[in-house]
Amino acid sequence: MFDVSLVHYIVLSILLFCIGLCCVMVSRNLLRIFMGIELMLNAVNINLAAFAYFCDGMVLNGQVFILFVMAISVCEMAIGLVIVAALSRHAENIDVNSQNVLEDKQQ
Amino acid sequence: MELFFDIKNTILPEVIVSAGFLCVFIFCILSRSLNKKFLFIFNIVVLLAAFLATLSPDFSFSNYIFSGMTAVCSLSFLFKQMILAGGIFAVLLSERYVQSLQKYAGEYYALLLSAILGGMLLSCSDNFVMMTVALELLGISSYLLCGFSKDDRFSVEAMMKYFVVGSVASCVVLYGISLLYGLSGSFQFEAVAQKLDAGNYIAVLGGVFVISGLCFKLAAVPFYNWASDVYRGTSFPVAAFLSVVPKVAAFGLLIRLLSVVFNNVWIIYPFVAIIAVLTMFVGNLLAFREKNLRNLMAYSSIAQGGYVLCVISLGSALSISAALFYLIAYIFMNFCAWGGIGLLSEERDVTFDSVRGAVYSKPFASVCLIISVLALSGLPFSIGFFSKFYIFQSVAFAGFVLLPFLFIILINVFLSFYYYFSLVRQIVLPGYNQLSQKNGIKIKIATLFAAIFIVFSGFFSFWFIEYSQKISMEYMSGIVTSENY
Repeated sequence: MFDVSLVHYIVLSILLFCIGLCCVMVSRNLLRIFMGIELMLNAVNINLAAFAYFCDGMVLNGQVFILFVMAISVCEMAIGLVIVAALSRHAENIDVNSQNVLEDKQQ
Repeated sequence: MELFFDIKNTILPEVIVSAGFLCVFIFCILSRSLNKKFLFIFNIVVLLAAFLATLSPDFSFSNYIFSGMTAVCSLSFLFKQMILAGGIFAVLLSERYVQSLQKYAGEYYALLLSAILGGMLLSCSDNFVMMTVALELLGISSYLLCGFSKDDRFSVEAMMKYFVVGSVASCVVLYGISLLYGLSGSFQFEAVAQKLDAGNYIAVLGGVFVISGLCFKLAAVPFYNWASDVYRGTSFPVAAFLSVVPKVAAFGLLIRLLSVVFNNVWIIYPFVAIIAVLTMFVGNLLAFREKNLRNLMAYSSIAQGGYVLCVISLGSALSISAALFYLIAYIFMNFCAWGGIGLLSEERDVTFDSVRGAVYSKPFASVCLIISVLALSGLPFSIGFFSKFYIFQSVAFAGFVLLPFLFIILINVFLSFYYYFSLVRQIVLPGYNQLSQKNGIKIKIATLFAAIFIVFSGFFSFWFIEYSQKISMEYMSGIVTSENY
């Protein structure tokens, strides 16, 4: 077995961030976009936890920030679900490609 | 950590706004059928009281509060004043829209207050934790404001677009913060700054992430696309609010970030300059073919943000004072323009054709719109001219190397003349239009005040220049002393 070092955590968090970004950019379903955003926030959390453990003498600093990030992501997802609910009252689906009434009226 | 500090000279405005915000929410819970007039007056009183509290602070003793979470200096108080002035304008413009709401009038005002509170905290935050919380307070309140009329398909779609772009941008900011934390082991701006230098590519990467995420609030290049859809989809007072308050707050934060955190990372400054140039060109060129007034305002505000980014990227005391003066002028010009558009028509699709000949059928609104548009284009003897001139001056004084930069700004100003003047031409040309809307007196008062300010404060521009110079000098000297210890 090998020792898990800081580099491994950083590579993991970069991968997770990129997967989340791809998920946001590629997927058409609004809920999957929100899942991508959650992945990106979790990448931030992994980064913070790893840095707090390996680099910071006072570990609390980064870990407290993780709590803030988690609270923020919960608030954002609450708003996200509100948007899904509001959209599904107007449109037949939550496919983001079909949400383009703003562009249609422009012509 | 000290618990007792001088509230009056440090965070009294925030305390007043947050108390007002809580009161409005409690009113909403206690009674469902609130008097809208009372709510309106209450909001105006809260914002005016907070504005008065910012006017004469005394920084002679303790300005270190909450373990250094927020900075207390004359610059942060100037930004608080700007944001509160923007908030008062937004409440005045909202009055008619709130009258038309069936329910949730109190929630609308409460969200407006919390967004203003978020903006005030953002512009004076001195710690990445504080910055994140303020960014999200401002962000989440403005997402909800944007989709407030949830029976309206367009409004909900605008909210969706704003939310998706905004949360990706805030993820990018957070990732940048985590990288900077890894380098320095702290979230305090000064402590982070001591560990950064230009040779460290993780520092550069973190800085690039943080600044490009902030560009969402500024509607600058990586995240500018939301502006036109959101301004058109949402109701006009919210659009006016979103085009000013988050922008001003993010500029306040950007000035602090560049001068404190990235002081030693020189490569961030050219990065901001590149963003600024791209933003100006994108805003002005997209506005070229635009026939919808709201989209035009969106692109024009993108371009106006680009001018401010240009001077901020120079990073000297003179350039910061130019940015401050321009932001003060921008608040009044933009609110006057939005007030004029709102008075002409609250419809979503106000095109060039539908405002043709408006000056004959609706003279007051048209004249206000023309004044603000001419000021935005930088025509002489309005405050818009003097603030643009001061931007040119600060770029020209920054050195001979920056002459191409000055040239680019000049090209953009000339480009912007085209669409501003073609809008004026459409309004003045004789023609038939169907603009027949009853106007709220409060919108008229706000627009008239902004128009008068635009026209007459040009004569007092030396006063504004002196004031912003004094503040930026104080601010920059404060940074030098904080480096020394």
